[in-house]
Amino acid sequence: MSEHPRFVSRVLAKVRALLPKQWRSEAGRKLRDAVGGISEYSQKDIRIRERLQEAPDVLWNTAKVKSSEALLKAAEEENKRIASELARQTLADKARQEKATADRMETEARISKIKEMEERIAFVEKLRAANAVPVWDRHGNMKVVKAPPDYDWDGLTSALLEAADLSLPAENEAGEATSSARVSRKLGEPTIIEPIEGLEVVAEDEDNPGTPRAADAQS
Amino acid sequence: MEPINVFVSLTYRNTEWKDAAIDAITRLPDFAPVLIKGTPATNRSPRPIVQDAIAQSDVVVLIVDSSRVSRREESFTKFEYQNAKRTGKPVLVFLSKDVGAKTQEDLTNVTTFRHELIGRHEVVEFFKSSDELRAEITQSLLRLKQERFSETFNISFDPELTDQEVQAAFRALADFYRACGGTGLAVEFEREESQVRELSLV
Repeated sequence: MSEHPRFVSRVLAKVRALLPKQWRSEAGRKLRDAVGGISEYSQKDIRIRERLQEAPDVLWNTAKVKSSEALLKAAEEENKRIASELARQTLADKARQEKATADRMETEARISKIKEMEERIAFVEKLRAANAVPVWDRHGNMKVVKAPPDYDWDGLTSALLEAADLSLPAENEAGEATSSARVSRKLGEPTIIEPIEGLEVVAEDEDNPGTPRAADAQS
Repeated sequence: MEPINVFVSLTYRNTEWKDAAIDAITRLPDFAPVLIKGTPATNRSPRPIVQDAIAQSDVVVLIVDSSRVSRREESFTKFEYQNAKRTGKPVLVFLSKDVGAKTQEDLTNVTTFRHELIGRHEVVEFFKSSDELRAEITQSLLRLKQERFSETFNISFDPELTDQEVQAAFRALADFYRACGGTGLAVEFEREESQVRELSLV
């Protein structure tokens, strides 16, 4: 028995989310959560689970050099969009003057949530057209898997919308939208979520779900 | 730069563990705990507020001991866990080594939930003291920061996807990120050579 060492060359594609500040704030959170939601939902799909297990990184990157070429082309187009987005952001910064009031911020937060739901629908539609399902692996890298023919896209849309809806402010008895909690934080300090107008938080009694358990309230 | 917001599961009977968790998080420079402040005065369920808190967090830390899941299968801990999973948040699970259930029913529920958590191959660490818990939380968060919160990550495409599908999928991701307020997703390519050893039988 003899041993023949040989070298395998592979191309690694590394995504850099711009700008780092945006990645660490709302924009990054939304992308991470949406792909996280897709990953969670796709756990149910046996074919996708198998595909992820049977195709280690090296195979995926060497089996088809063409996909790197296709990505290169997409990356070049993306660079142009990034350049125009940077120019647009510079103009927007100059135009920004007003400081938002608390009420306006709350309204904007609600609009932003509705917008997020619309964006999620559009995102799933584009993925469906591309026949591709992006998932996070356990190392925080992204794998884009070909969707099986019976992949439940409508189910995915519902799951992502439901997840986005979970954080929508609840409506009060009069049917008006209201935020159940006010968030405050100074940089570097803990986020404190303070209930407003009499709605106070207590831990729930496990024996009677829906019933508060006084002893465990955080203060 | 925004800190990485960590939701710490709410309903601990064991305040020592809660304090240990918050202490571990606040000691890390890039992390901040998401706390829910309240007083026991009304009989409203805290579920909507917990949902808000989870939605505004980047990571959910779940500490599971027997007292938290033993009474009812549909416990508050499960609600927090399922909520975090549905919203796509990474969940770090810490299980106490002491099961300590009082009845057979308790034990069944504890075991079922524990097995469910372990079976999902997520980050699950075991601890038996608050010092151990503090150390495990610190290590897990630092690891998670490197893996999930770095603005660079590898991307690979299923070889079965066509060129058009690869391009369309990448464009969908980049467009979505931009729609959420990001500037875009730049791609860098690196060529890497690895040595492979082949064994021949002749």
